[in-house]
Amino acid sequence: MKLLVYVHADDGEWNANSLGMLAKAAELGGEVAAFVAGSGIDDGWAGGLGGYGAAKVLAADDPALAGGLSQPVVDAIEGSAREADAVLFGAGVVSADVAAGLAARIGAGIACETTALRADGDRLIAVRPALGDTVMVESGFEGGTGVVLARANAFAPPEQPSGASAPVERVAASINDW
Amino acid sequence: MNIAVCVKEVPSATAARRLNPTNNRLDRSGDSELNPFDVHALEEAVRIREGGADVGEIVDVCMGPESAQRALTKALALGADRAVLLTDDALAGSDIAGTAYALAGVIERQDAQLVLLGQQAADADCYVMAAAVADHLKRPLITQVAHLEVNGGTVKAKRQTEHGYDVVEAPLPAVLSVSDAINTPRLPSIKAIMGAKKKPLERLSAADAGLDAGRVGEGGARSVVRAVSPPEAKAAGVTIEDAGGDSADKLVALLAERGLL
Repeated sequence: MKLLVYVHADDGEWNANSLGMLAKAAELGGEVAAFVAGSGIDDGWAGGLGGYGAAKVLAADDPALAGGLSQPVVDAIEGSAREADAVLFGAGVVSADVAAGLAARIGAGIACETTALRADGDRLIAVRPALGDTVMVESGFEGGTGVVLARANAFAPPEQPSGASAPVERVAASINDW
Repeated sequence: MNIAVCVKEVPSATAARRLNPTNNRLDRSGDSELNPFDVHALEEAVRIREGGADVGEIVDVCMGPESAQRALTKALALGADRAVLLTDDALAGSDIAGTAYALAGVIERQDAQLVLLGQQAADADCYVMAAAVADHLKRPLITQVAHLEVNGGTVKAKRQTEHGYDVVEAPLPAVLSVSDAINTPRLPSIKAIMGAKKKPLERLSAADAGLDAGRVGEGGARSVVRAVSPPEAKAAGVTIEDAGGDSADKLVALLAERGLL
């Protein structure tokens, strides 16, 4: 299973919810790639996501990605997302907007408020509480790539990253003008 | 400038919420209400008009069963000029993807330069609809808006994030979701409630809205429910009983023991 994890950063600091999702993805096995978007991305900094479970890091580097807006990130991640079985997002305002915009862009189902993830063969199952946390709902995806958005603090990052470094692959970012 | 406000009928806050075991969908047969988060979007639209912006009309857009016309009537009482209800059996079972696609399809037909949504739906607790709709419409997006200014052809918003606030500007047409912190909605007057029943409420089928049947409804859903189960039982809590005023000391000791102090 090919998993792509969007890792959000604010002012050079990785978002903890994104790191937690990355670590969770690594637990599930399969191919795990992190996706980062910004301007002036340092390979050493991005490669540090290997310590949280990324086998490789896809980096979209463009001035348009520096402003903290979600829609340019959707443009940047779209191509990589179409090649993945699922794209995973930790909680966060921008992350949620990217997740939803991407789901719309590629015609994917989106599972929100996810608190647990598991692999069922080559399928991903996302679990969330619903109806005031009175039931647990397990969801899967049909027709291609699925998008998963976690509930806040659902997946904790490791207290100490492993120190592994992942190779960084630069991806072209074609940003729409709207 | 015309403003479209997306609204949703949700189960009433006092109604028991359950899933229909035959199809794992939310049971909507009980009491319902206008999504309380959408009321903030409606209020903001009216405030934009009252603030002097050149607003032509405020139109409510809703996707739901026929019963959703009750929620739309309440929305009309809150200041909209007309409403559009997208209602069709073919839409039943639509997931977020299908719903966003369908709403965008209806909004496109409304000639609205500003689209407002509430931050989330009270039934699903998902806060992603605005971003999905914006992508379908190919319009700039600002979410979690806690303060909004409309200046001619641009909007300037204070966006609420987990780190504080950003200030974001965008040209119109644009799609915004408003935080529940943006305003305190007014209660409608009796005159407004009575007048709402006379305002136009248009019903559209999926075909009327030009929707691709393969992208909506249960058949068009890209996320599917596989199973539903009760949550894990929580561990019993600790009860501290006060004996001569020592409960505070006991509580402090417990919290310290667990490393919380």
